[in-house]
Amino acid sequence: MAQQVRTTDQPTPARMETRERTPDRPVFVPPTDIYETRDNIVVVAEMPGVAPDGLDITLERRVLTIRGRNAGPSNEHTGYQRVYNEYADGDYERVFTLSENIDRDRIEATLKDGVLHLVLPKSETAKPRKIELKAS
Amino acid sequence: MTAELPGVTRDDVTLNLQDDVLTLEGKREPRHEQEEGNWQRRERSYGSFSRAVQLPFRIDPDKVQARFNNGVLEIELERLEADRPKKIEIRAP
Repeated sequence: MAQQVRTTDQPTPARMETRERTPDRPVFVPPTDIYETRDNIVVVAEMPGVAPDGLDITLERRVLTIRGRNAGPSNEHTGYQRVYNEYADGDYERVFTLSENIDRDRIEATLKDGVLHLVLPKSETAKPRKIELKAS
Repeated sequence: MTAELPGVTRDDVTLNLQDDVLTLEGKREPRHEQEEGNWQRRERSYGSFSRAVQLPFRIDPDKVQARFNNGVLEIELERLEADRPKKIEIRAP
């Protein structure tokens, strides 16, 4: 006999968030490329609609947090009514844990055409080093 | 009309208008140094894209305005004057 499953009266929320945000709009995970060169770790994140002043990047120990606030369509579009909708305007948020030690004084961030380029230089101790053999 | 095109510049996009169909074509090339690096994560896509949108009315091709705004392409299209609905006056008998 099948076991009867009882549901509690209180519905559990579909998404549990540790904090609530205002205003209520979607938060997206930006598609991101990460690649590593000899000297740098480069993070490239797609955040269309985010202006440079809406961007917030923090690095705490090895945790890199990227937040982008969507500025929305330009004001010139007032008076328009949306007839078809395929994507929603929302904010972006993503957290990475980096595996290397980063030289935090030389981090470079550029935002161009809705794409964030973040160059994180490896600290000297994390770089590969050639070990010279001592002549015996 | 707006389209999310992060990383695409003005020169990479072609817009074509034929009566009431707007075709948006373009490409996105990876940066050169990315090819040489050691990938840890690869989520963005590269290559060419194309999209044709049929609009509800014919467009005046001289009045189309398109601009990029932080990776979002905005295209403003105006209805053709000849295509606008016309009010017909009823003559008095």
